[in-house]
Amino acid sequence: MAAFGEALAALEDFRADLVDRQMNDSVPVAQAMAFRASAGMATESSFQNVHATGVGVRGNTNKPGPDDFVIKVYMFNKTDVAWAGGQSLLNTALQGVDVEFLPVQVAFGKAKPTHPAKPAAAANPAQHQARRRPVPGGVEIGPIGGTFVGTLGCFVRRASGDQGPLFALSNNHVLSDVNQFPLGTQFTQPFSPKPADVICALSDFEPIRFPAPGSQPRNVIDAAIAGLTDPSQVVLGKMLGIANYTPQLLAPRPGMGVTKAGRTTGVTDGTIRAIRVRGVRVNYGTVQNPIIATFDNAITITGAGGTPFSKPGDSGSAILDRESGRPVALLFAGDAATTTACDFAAACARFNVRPV
Amino acid sequence: MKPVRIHTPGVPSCPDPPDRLVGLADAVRDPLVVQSGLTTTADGRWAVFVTVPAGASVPIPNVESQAGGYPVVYEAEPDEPPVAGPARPGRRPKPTP
Repeated sequence: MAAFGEALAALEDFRADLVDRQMNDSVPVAQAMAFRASAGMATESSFQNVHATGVGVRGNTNKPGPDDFVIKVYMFNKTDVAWAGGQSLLNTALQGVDVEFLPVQVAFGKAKPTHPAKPAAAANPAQHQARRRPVPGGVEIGPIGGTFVGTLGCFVRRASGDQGPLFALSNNHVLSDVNQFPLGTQFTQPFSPKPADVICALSDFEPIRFPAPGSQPRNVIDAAIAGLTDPSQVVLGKMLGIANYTPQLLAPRPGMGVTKAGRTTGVTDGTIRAIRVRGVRVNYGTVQNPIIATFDNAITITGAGGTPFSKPGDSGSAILDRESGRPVALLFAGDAATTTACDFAAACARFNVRPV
Repeated sequence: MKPVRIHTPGVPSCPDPPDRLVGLADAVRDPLVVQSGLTTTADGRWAVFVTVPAGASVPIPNVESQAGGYPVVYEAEPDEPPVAGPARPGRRPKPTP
């Protein structure tokens, strides 16, 4: 027996455990995603087959009492429901809150999305890695002749009129390879060795500052801009895969449903978890050889439905308020569960630009 | 009680955080606090957001007293810091002719 608040609190831990198990599940991602796209197909049950989780009223009670709330787990079909009942992670009451299983066919009719404005967009990463002309925001870029790729977040213009110079906005660690590239370094769309694919060249970046003896610097943004070599090759006001992109700044808020278009995961949805976060340690090296920089004023985001909001290569994506399509943050780091971003307005202020 | 792994905030009950809360969140200091910031509770109240080691016992009285009566949301610090790194695709460019 649990009250709504108790069930909600237990749900957070349940989801975290579930994500851990899903990350360790032996089902390849591609197979899992394919399964998600066609719920009826036969496949081996696994932790990947959880469609959604939430808090609801026990059973089909028409007049629930104050302590009739449980964790509800929606599985893709009845076979999965039976399988889940045998898994200790899924069937054990958590913090005194019972867990109920339902096939997803029931969920479709009853579940209310947290952010009901629009259905979740289908991720299609291949579109974001292809050559696009004219070039919109949310696509792959890389240094010509280089070995890595990131995302062109969006286009920005300097000065307030319509005649100022245009730039591509992304991260320092994409456009400058963490303070290393000289100004003028050329970038192609997509990743390519061909000079004909060059669309922009590094113009300016905010240095990432790392600790040194006697110095513990703090960073606020991981951002850089690259001047367009031929503005006629780009399309302003467009974000690949996001129809309502609106290039007007908006302040991020906790609980805000957000979306982004990135090179690796395509269009994904998430929720802002916290803003103005101080002391965020970010690794610019590897797990074996970490190189840590500390950020203030960061924004943390969680992907929708327990899926990652971003992966490597999505760095530089403009993160938009899902409801209005307005930019709120610039994506620059992440792990399996969390995406870290910097304030979009702060990046624009640094370079005296605005999104277009 | 242990901190939650991933907090789920609600839509804020008012658009902007109280100025006093912004100042308090910036100033929170405690040996167990790794990060501090702003979030909302599940029912939309503005709150102080802190991350602490996963094994820490919460609430932390010192943090609660610094929060000035605002709610405090405790989240467990991840095992590893997030990584900022581009992708390295397998299709390496060929030399330009």
